[in-house]
Amino acid sequence: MNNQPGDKLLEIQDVSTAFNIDGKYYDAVSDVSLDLYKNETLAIVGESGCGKSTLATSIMGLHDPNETKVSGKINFEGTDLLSLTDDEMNKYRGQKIGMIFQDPLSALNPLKRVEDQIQEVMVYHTKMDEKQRHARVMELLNQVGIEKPERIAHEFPHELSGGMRQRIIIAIAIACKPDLLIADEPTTALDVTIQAQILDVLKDIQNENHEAIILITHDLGVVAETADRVAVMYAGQIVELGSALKVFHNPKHPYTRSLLRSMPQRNSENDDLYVINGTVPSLQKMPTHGDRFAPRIPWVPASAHEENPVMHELEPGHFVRCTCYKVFDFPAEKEGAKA
Amino acid sequence: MSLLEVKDLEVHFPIRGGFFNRVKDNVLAVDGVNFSIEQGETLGLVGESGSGKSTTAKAIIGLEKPTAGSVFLEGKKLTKKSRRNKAEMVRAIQMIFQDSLSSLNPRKRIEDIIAEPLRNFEKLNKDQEKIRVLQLLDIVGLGPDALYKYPRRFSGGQRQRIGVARAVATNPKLIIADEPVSALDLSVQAQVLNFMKKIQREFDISYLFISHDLGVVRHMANKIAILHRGRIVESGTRDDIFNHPQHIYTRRLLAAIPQIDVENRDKHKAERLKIEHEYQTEQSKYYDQNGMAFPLVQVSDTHFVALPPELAHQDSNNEGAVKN
Repeated sequence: MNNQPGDKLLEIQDVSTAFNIDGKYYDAVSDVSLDLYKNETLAIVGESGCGKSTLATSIMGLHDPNETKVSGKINFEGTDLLSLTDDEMNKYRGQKIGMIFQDPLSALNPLKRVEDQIQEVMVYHTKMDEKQRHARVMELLNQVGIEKPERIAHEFPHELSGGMRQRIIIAIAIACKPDLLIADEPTTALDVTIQAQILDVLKDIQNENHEAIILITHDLGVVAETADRVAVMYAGQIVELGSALKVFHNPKHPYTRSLLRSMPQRNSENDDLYVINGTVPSLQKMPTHGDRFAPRIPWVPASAHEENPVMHELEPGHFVRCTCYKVFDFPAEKEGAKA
Repeated sequence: MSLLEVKDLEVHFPIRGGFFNRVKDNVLAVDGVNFSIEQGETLGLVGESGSGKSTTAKAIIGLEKPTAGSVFLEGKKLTKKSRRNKAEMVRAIQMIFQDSLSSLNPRKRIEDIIAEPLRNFEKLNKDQEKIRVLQLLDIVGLGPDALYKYPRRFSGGQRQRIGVARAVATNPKLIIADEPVSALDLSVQAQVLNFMKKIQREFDISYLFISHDLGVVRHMANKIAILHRGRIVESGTRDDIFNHPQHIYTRRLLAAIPQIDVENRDKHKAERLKIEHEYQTEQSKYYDQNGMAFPLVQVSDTHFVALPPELAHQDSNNEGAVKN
């Protein structure tokens, strides 16, 4: 499952995405820097509102430029995606970068048969003729594990189950063999058994095509099962980045540790679950300086936080934001202290 | 006597033509479900989409008309039609829904939302009512400033807690929670689950906890029933289901849960694929010719499994051997 990482494919440098709310711009993603290598699966994990999907849509260039400001650099094989015009970007979308959305029903056109929808990408991006396209559709449907491709190709999205629809979405996303696949909560709407199948399909496709996958999810279990590297996001920033093994077995940032702790565990039945103090700040109330997670761990002294938290490399490849991880401990572990 | 007893519950939906290219005249959404819940106990009802878990809940609370079977609350039959009976039932059984936003009236303030069941069932004057609403809000950790706000002003977790407060307003004996935390983030989920447990301890409430998330169910429920295609395929204590699963479907479901164990994920995947393969090849053995699960067979004091007749026979022999 651990693929050999290839060359650097994507370089995200200080990307900030700000939304216009009542005439003022507020950062939903602030100063995110990330590298992505060929043939690896990078999971971006965080709770709703942490900016993980916004980061993905920024890479895809799906934001309305009138309402959104995206700054920084997104280098994709040497080209800065943010400097491209809409027409130029269209050549990347679907061809070099494929995207899989959470809700497969609303991502598919209800009036078109499955085959036509998959062919659409090829019509736009390739010079294949009708026959070649049909052959490719059958190949793709096989690849995503659909047993009767001829029959399924003629159906409409509403005739398919949720798992089937998600397979069709994946088929569309990989139709032009993209180098990068962005999967935004691809299995959230699915049952666990179907989820396992879809994750397997993604892995198999990666083993065949060697594309890089950015997997966006809130499900720590899914991340632990599939990701090579993990970026944990909180309030628009990456707070921890490292290999899946490091992040799950030796988590450092207080937020990562808190999240893992709030999960129901085996043998936790008689205990209360850990609850993180307070709530995620809204965009308008985001602190402009200091550690954004600090208000949620008030027992950690202010001196433990950095004035302007930066990422620290603890071990090669394992980064943590702010210095508060050094002193952080759960309140229960300290004597008598209460959250 | 159990608090709630569900006997041979059936809910069939008639259909014309077929959604799955099969023509059937009935969807057997729930087909012969039996279970009981004791006071202060939580039964986890687990199943994938379409397994009939929500339909079961609706049939119990009276939102869906059962085709056959009966539901007893403290020995009194709820499926009877008499009106007085029904009002009493609504009071004793409350429900928490998955989507907290659409289950709270957007035009009503929190005070009115929580007071509504009180106004229906209890004759309180204005002051008493307000005190009661404040108490209820306090139980779920919300302050008095919540009273005059509208649902949209709250976060998902807060709204779900308001739903919990409303459900406990009439001092129900049973709360049916249909996927109460599925739409919530992890840390918020923890909060809501903690409150639900606290309320259970304080008021000795029983829960019928419906979820597709086995991790959450393991945390909440001491008894668990696995539903598949409208029938219970396995039921038992937490230990029975998680440590000694017998039905192929239960094992498949358990194997599919993603685990936080990065070191052993390849092993876990291999195990999952093995069980999935077994499920595909041996599935026919565990279901009758109509694709329905077999009747439940008792394999231990608490553990029931829908084993095929030949396996069931074998098992009961083994059981006998052990006992002798």
